[in-house]
Amino acid sequence: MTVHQFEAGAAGAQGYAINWDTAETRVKELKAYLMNAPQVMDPERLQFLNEVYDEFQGEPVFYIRAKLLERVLLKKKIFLDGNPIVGTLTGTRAGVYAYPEWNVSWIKEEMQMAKMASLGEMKIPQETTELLEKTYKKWKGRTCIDLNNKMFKDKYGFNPAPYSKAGIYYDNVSVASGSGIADYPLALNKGLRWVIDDIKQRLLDCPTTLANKEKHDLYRAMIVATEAVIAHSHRYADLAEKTAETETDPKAKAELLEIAEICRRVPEFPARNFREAIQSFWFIHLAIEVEQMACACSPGRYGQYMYPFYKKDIEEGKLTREQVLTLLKFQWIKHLELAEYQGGSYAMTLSGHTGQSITIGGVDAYGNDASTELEELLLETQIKMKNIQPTLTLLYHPKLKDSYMQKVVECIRGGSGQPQILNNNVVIQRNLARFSQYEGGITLEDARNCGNYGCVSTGICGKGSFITQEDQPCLAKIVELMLYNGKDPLTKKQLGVETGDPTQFQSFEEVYDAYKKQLKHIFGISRKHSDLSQMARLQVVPSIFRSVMYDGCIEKGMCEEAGGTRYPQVNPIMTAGIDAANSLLAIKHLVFDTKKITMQELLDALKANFEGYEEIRKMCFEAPKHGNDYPEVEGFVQQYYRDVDDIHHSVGPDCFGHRTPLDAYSLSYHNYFGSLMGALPTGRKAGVALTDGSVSAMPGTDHEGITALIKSGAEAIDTVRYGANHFNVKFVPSALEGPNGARTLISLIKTYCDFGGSHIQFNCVSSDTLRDAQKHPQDYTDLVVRVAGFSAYFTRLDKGVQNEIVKRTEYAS
Amino acid sequence: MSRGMIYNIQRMSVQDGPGLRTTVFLKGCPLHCLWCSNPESQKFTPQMLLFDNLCVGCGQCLQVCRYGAVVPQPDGKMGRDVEKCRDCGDCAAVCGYKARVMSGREMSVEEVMEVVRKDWLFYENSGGGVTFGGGEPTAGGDFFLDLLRAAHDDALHVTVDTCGFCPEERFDKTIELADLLLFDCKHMDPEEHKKLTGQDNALILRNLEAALSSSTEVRVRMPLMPELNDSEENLAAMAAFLGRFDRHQVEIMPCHAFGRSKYAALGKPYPSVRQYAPEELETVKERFARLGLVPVIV
Repeated sequence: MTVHQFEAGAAGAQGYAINWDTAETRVKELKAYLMNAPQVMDPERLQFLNEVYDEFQGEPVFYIRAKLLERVLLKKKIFLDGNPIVGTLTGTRAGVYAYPEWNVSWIKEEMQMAKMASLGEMKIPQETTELLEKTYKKWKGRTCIDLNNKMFKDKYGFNPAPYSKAGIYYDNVSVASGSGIADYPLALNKGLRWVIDDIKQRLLDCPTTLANKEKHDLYRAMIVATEAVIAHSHRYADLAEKTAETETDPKAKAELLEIAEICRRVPEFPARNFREAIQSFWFIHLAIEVEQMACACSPGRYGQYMYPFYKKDIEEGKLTREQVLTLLKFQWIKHLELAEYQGGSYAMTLSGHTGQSITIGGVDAYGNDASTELEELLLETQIKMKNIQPTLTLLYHPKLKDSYMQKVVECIRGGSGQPQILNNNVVIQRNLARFSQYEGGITLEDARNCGNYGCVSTGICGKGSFITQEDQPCLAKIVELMLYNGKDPLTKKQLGVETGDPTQFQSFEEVYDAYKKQLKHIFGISRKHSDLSQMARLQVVPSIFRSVMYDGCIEKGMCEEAGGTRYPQVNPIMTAGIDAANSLLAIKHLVFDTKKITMQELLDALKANFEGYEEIRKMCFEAPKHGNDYPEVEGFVQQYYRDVDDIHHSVGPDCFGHRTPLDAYSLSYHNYFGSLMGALPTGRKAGVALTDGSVSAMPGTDHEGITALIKSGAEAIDTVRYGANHFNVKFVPSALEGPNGARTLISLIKTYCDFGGSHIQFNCVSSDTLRDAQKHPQDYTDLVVRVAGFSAYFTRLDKGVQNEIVKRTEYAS
Repeated sequence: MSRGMIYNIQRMSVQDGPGLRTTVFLKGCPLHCLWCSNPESQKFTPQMLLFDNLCVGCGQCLQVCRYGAVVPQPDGKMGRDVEKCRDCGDCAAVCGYKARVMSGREMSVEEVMEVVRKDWLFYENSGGGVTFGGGEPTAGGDFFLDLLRAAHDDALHVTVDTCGFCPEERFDKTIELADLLLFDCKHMDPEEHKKLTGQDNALILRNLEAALSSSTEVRVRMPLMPELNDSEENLAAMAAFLGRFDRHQVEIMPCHAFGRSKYAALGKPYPSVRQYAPEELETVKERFARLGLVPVIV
C-alpha cells in the first residue's frame, strides 16, 4: 500500500463535519502554540485536592481518590482550542498539574532548580505558588515517600533517606508513575456504561462479609470514577453545543455540533466509527493521565485495535487516508500537550518524558504478522510531525512486509529517531519466562499480545500494569562504595559495608568480590525499601480509574497497586551498568594485568578528579571498554550483568512474591546520578553524565565500527532474563541515504535481533548540527534527538545531556 | 600459513561491493597514481603517520626516538625529519594522543580471517561478504592468495578491488576464487597510463580481458580525473574495448580530497589534482553517454 495515493473527494457528502479546509492550518497553529508558549503550572488540581481531602475525611482512601478524580473532571476549566479531538489535561493551555501526594519536599528544596517540563522551562504563577505552600504544610509527613521511609525506620530501625540523597538509588514513590498499557479496546468496543453495569452487578454479588470490605470500597470508588469520566465527556458536549450557538461559519458550526454528538456517545457507549473511536480513546487516555499524570501510560497497539474502525470508514468512504492522517496529527498534538512536573531532581532524571509509546508491528494470537495499514499512517504522521510524544515502538520480527520496513526506515531516517525497535521474539520469550511463575501461568496468546511500556519495558497489553516501580539503583555508584570501603564520598557517610582497603587487594578477584558484596548490601536495602514503598503507595495513592481500565482488577476486586491486574509486574530500573563494568575492567587492566599504575595512584587520581593526573586519566580512558566486540571484554560485561541479576534475586522476591527481572535502562538517570558522582576509573570526570542506556558504549570509546558495537550491545545482557536492555546508536544521516542505506539499516536491525538484542534506537543527527544547535538554539526549535530511550527537543535539554549527545561516536560509512 | 602486511581492516563497509562487508586493506602497491587517496598504502612496509593537529607537544616521542627524527617545532609541537625517520614505531608506541600512529601490521591469514568471520551474520543478513583492497591486494602474492582461498573456502562472498597490475597466473587464480572483481581502469593509452601511474597498462588490459571473458562478475571502475583521463579519446578507446565484451557500464569515482591530511601525515607534498565542479561532472557524464558508456557514480 502506498499511503500517498488518496482517493480525492471519496469522503463526499457522507463524511464527517470536520472543516477539512482549515484543518492542516489548525494543526500547525496548535503545534506552534505548544512549541512557543511556556508551560504553566495550573493551580486548580491543588485546590481540588485540598477541598476533597477535607470534605471526605474519614472515607476509605479508595473513595477519596475516586472523589478527587471526580472533582477534577467535573470542576476543571474546560475549553475548545480548534482541535476536533477534545479534552485537555488542565484548565490552561500547555498546563501542568502538580501531584504532591507522592512527595512535597521539592516544593521547599528544589524551587531554585530549573523548572523543566517536557517542552522546556515551566512557569509557576503566584496563585499556584501560594497553593503549593499551603499543600506542603498539609502533606508534609503524609506523602508516599514520607510513609515509605517511616515504615522502613519502624521495621528496620534506621533512616533510609541518606541512600537516595547519596545517589545510590532513586526513591520510586517520590513521584507518580505510569501504569503501562490500559485495556483501551474495552472502552472502544463495550463502552463505560457496560463497565459500570458490570461493576454494580459484582458489588451486588459480593457477599457482605468483613473480609470483603476492601472490595466494597473499591467497587464503590470505581463506579464514582467511571461515572465521572462519562460526565466529563458530556461537559465537552455541552460546551461544543453552546459554542455552536454563536458560531456563524456554517462549516465550523457543523464541526462543533458533531463534536457535541460524539461526546454524548463516547466513551459511555461503544464507538461506531473511526471518528468516535479516536475521541473515545482520547477521553480514556486523558482520564488515566489526569488521575495520575506520569511517565509510561502507553497506548499500546493503537494501530491494531483502531484498525477495524479505520477500515470500516475507509471502505464506506467516510474518510480518506489523507483525512485520517490529519486526524492523527490532531491526536499527536493532544499527546504533546500532556506534561508533568514533580520537582527539579525528577526533571533531571526524566527530561520531562511522558512515555506515551505506541506499539506497532508484532504478531497476532496465532503468531502471524499483526501490522496494519493504519500503522503505516502512524509512521507517516510521525514523519510529518517529528513530535517527541507520542513515541513509536516497532515490535520487529522477520514476517514484517518489506514495504512496511521501508516505511519504518523512512521514519527513522526522518530524524526523529523513531520508531525505536524491540525484538518481538525476545519479548515473547521474556513474557513466557516471567509470567510462567505466576499463579495460572500465561497463555501463549497473551504472551504474544505484548507491547512497550514507557521507555523500553515490555508487558501484556491491557492485562499487565507496572505501576509498581521499584527503587532505581545506580550500579556505577557501587564502584565508589567499593573503592572507599563502603563510605560514600559525597555524603561522607558509611552507607556501604566494609569490604576492605582496596590498596590491600592482591588480585582483581578481590576487587570484584568487594564490588559484589557492596552490591548485595545495597540491593538488600533497596529491596526492603521498595517492597515497603508498594505498601505506602497502596495506602496513600491507589489508582481507581486506572484499575477499571486494566483487565483483572474488577474481577479480583483489587486495585492495580495491590496486584489486581492479570499480569502485574514490578519494574526495578538499573542504570549505569556499563560504567560499572568498564570501571572494573580498567582496574583489572591497569592495576593487575599490566600493572601500569597502583591502586593507590588510581585512588589519588580519582580523588583529585584527575587534576594533575592527566596521564592516568588517559590510561583509564584507553583501557579496554565495552562496545568493541573484544571477546574478553564482552565476556566480562556479560558475566557482570549475570552477576547483577543473580545478586538481585538473592536478596528475595518482589512484593508480589515473584522473581522480578531487572529493567536495565537509563531514562535520564545517568545524567542525574552522574551529577552526584565523583571521577570513575573509566576516565570519566566527576559530575559528568554516566553512559546512557544499559548496553550503549561509553561516549568516545567504541572504535571498531557499528557491527562490533551492535554485536557487543546485543549480547551484553541476557534480554530474556532481564526485563529490558537499552541501546542507543547514533548514525550520521549520510550513512543511511538511498536504497542501499535503507537496506543497510534493515540488515543491522535484523542482525541485532538475531544476536538476541532487545532494544535498539537509531539516532540520525550529525554532531555538527548539534553543536550549531547549541550555539543557535532559536534556529533548531524542532530538532528532535533520542536521549536514553526517548525523544526530546534537543535545544530544551539539560546542557550535560546535550554535551553527551554531541560526544557520542558517529559512524560514517 | 603465510603472513602479510595489512594497514586496515574496516568492518561495516558499504561501498566495496554488495551488502555489509569487511574490507581488508593490504599494504603495498605497484602503481603510484598521481591522485592516490591512500598514500600510506603504497609502500610494502609499515609507516608512521603524524597528525599534527592532535599533537600536544608532550615530548614523549622526543625521548624515545633513536634516530633524531623528532624535531620540536616553534609552536611547541613535535615534527618529524622525514629523511631520518625509519618508521620504527617507537614514537607511536608512546604517543598517548594518537598523533603518531603506525600504518601497517604484519598479520597471518588466520588472524585476518578471525576478524573477517566476526561479522558473518551481518553478511548473511545483507548479502554482503569480504572485500580485499589495498594498495593492490594481488601484490600481496601468496599471502593474498591464501587469504582469498580461506575466504572462498568459508563460502563467503569475496570481492577483490584491484588495479589489475598482477602476474597473469596469479590473476587467473584470483578470477577463479573471487565472486566479484572491482576492476580499476585508469587509462587506455600505455604512455599516458605510465605517466599517471608509473606503469604501462599492457598487463592490466590482458587481465581485464581475462576477467571479462570469465564467469566471474566484474564491475569496471574508473577513478575520474579532470583533464588526466576524461578525454573523448580515452573514453572512446574504453568504450571500444568494453564493447567487445558487450559491456557498457562504468562505475566512476570522481577525484576527491579526502586523502589530503594523510599526505601531510606522511610528510609528503599533496599532489595538485583538482576536483570537478558539479556541472563539469555532468558534462563528463554526458561524454560517457555519447560514446555508448553507462556511467554510474559510486
